[in-house]
Amino acid sequence: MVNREAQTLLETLFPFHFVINGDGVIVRTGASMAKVLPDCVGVKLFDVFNVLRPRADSLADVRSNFGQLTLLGIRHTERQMRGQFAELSAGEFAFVGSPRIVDNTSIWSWPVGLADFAPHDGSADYAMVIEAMNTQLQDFERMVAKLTEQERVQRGLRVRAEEANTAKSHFLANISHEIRTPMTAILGFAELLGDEGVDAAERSEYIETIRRNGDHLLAIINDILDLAKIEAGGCTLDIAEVVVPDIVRDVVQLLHMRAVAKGISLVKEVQGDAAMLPIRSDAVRIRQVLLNLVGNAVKFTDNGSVRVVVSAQRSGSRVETRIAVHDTGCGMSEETIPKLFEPFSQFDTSYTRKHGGTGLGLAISRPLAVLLGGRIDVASELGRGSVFTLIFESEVAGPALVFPVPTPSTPAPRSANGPLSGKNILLVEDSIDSQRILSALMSLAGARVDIASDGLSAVARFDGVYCPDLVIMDVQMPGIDGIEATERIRSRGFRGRIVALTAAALSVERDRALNAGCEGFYLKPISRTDLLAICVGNPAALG
Amino acid sequence: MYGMVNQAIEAMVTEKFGAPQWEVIKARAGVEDPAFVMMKQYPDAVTYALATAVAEHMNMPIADVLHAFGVYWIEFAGKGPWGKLMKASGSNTYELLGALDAMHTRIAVSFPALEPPSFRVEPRDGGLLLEYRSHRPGLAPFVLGLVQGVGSMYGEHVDIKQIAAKDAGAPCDAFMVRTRPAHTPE
Repeated sequence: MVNREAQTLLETLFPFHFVINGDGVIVRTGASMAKVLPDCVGVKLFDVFNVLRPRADSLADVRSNFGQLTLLGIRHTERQMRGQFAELSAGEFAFVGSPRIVDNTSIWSWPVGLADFAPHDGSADYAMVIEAMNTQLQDFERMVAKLTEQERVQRGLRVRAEEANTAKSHFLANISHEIRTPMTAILGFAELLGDEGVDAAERSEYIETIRRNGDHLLAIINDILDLAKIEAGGCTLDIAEVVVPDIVRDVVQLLHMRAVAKGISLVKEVQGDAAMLPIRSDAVRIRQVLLNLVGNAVKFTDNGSVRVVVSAQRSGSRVETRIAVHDTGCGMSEETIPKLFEPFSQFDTSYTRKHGGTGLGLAISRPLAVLLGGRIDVASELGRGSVFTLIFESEVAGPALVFPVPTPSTPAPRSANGPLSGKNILLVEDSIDSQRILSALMSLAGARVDIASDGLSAVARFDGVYCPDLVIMDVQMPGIDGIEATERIRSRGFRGRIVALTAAALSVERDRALNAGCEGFYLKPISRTDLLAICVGNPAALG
Repeated sequence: MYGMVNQAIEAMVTEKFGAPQWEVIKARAGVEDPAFVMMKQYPDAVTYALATAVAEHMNMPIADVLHAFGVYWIEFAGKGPWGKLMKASGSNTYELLGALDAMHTRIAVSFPALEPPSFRVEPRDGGLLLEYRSHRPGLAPFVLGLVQGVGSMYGEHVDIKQIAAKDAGAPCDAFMVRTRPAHTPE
């Protein structure tokens, strides 16, 4: 038995120690060892431990290795202790050591805390070092991830900057081309105007060419100025009462000629009563966006049609208006769509060369849509066509407008001796501009022109008594279209001439009109000569 | 101080106010390093500048920032491998506070330039007297938050009151700490 001082010292310095008597039985343990093996007192050494290194299978072996660095394995566990055996007295000997730290997790699985290690014991420090190494490794991995992310962002910015630069170069080259082309015409024809041999007809043609190119140049400059203004945040709304279908009608009418020239149809469609609600918005900006969307649709559609569909959803005093422009044009790939609205970016400069324009329309339209309280959605399929939808929210302006049946003017004949003298003609046409030009041409030729602004009011005239010499019927109109109006008029017994005059160039439209009871089907725009030839019933004279 | 401390300030600001605010605060503190390296030694002035910048940018008293950082420090350190170390150092607030010096001494094996403060504890009136000694001035609010954070880690409610201040001429900052399980009434 060791004395009390020695035992206290042993306990203090080696809390993981245990003492073995001469029979090889564990008789005492330190406080920390008791936490590791609480039931080992009274048990033989070799029943608790394997003496792994130096290998010992008997007490004699153990005794022969006193003082050497020794590794013990705790039976039935993965745990090991390292230390040394030392003689105490009276046949007792002790093992002094501590848990062996195998990896960074092993120490924390022992049923002991840091306070169970003697202050001088480096085992716990070793555990700390391993923890620190692991933490450093995590820190390093975190730093690498951060730098990798930064590099990825930088690379993305670099690529975008290069793309923007390239797009800007393309844009400048394109703008230069776009400006130089009309300028060449303007300067060239202006020079020709100075020639002495120019006759009146040529002069008129030159002036018209100069004016047309001047208009085009102005449009380009306006686009550039608009974009600059929008980018500077200087664009504001002028809010007033707006009826969206009216704007759509104007835009469709404005672009009808272009569609006709390309042999495609351009039609509008109003879905639901909510679309007719007057709203509080900016008509000029809506029109500007639509001109771009519908203009592009016509520009990039070589076959088929462009359809503008207006719908709206009312929610209390708010209304969400959707104007969808469907085309059967060339369409776009998914990769192209995100770049569409970027200034200085055109998805294919060859298109711009082919179709003209500054390529700024969509870049202007998107911020305008946002300004209107909305957005522009795009759906497209390469080779199949696209749908651009302007969606915006606004306040309802007031009760729904009641659209009275127009009371069209009936221009008096302006010539008593014209080719149409004595003829009564009903012009069924919703476009104010078309009403004005067509009625003026026919009145100047001596006709008495009656105007109906839509199909229903035209049908209403045929009461069995009304019998004009000719009905000139537009096809696309609000309410019932010209085809249905013709059918209804025929069903009321009218046997006089009805001719369709339309911008819808499709043959199917022609067939429908003829089947409905029209005698002829003529396309807008129409010259004065052709109009008069139709009116006098001599279509063979058409130019 | 080691970069780990500054990393913790970054994590706290980013978590509570968002990454863009951290960039503003870093710029305000005049810190140009894109990131802090855990094992690198940075001047104490960097840490003080960051804490000051947080206080100014968020319009908070510096003591409140330090207190919040003390609470967060335990949470931050506890998330990583150091959490196991803290848990192994004690099974409740009192034990861990009593083991802080030993823990710092062992950590110093891996952080040779560590200049940790010293914490001495003494049972008193059913609670714990905690004495805090550091050559770094003005960090008593950090200690207040730190002890609160330790209590949260063990699910204990901590009442702590500063009873002596070095700034007021006392030999060291001293606190009375009392804990109770978080779910028990006061």
